[in-house]
Amino acid sequence: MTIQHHLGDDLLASYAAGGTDEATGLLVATHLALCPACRTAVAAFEAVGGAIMAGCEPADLNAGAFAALEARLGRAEPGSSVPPASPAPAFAPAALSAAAPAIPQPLRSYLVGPLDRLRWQRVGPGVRRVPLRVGGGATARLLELAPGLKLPRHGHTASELTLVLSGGYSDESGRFARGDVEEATPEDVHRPITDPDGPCLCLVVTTGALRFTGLTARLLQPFIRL
Amino acid sequence: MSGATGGAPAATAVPGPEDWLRAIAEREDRAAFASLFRAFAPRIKGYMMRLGCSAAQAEDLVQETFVGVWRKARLYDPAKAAAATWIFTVARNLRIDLLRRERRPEIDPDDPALVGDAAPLPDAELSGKQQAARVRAALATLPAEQVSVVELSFFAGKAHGAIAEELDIPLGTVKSRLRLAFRRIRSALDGNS
Repeated sequence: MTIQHHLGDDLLASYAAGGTDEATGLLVATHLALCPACRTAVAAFEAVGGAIMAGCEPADLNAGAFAALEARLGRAEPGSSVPPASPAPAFAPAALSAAAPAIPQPLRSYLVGPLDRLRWQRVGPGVRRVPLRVGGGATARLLELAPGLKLPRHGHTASELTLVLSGGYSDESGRFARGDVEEATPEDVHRPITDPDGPCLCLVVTTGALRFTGLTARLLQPFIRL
Repeated sequence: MSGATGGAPAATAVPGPEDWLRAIAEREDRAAFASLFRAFAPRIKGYMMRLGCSAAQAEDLVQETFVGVWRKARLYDPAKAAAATWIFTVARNLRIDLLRRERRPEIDPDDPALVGDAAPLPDAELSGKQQAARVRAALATLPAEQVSVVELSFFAGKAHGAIAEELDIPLGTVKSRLRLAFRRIRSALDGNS
């Protein structure tokens, strides 16, 4: 599997700096699990963060700051209470049905169970979704599109990030398969068509509502709300 | 002193932050912890205030960061990151956790679904400290105009539009300077530099 569509450097740098909201961070981290090249880029940007922090103008600490810290160490021995590196998965990857691809961490920890037991909401012909609980302003949801589906031509009122988890789709920007990310800005209008050989599962993060352009699509919008 | 840091072949005469972290992980070395605190705590406080924290918030974050460093020192992998980089990530995550009250989604290195490196990176044998030195060298070669947009976007946390206003330059210029700078920084670890 070779990823064709990577995340932009500005998003990777923002993630490394700690500037992304939780929903965007979830999409970035899930892409990173599938993309070693972007992991290397994040490591480089984190090294920039380390260099910038280490080169910052020092600020005087309160008197007794170290003594206060030392007093806490007795209650926090190293290694005695190392938390797991990430939240325990809500379920094991093996619990996914054999046909479903593995959902990487950290996305898995946001799901309450295997894909086929989630509370899917039907939002239109061949389209269903599961909203995810994330903090911050942006929204995140799983979106599953039926094979061979032609979505109405639509734009975006803000930015939308789509990460393909399984299956694939094509639009004016190319073909998108597992691990690929499409970044859509308010100027972009696209008309995705899903691959014919299976459903397409995506993680979608939006900072504003979708805007459909055609008349039929505008009439459909209240019902579709992808 | 190098003999006291575990006798690593790469250990130099003067122990540095990477050695201090190892000493904390291996034997709860409080002197090493104090050295680390002296070297980084005032910088972390300055960094947090630069990000808009009050002095009191910044002081709290320094405390929490060092409790985290003490507890998690065993998870520090010198092959992956320089000490400064790793401490930065601990401080960054605590800021998100404590001030924004949000989760910080991150990959799980043990996740069976994780896609590993297809081929070892050209410079995979570099230690985290050497990688960080390369990134710093790349930063040092950037034109000043690129450094200022990287600093504003990266550690003052400013949006591109706000940077354009502050520097009184067009938004497109901010974006192109960032693009050039990010490419140079990435190439420091890609082996394309």
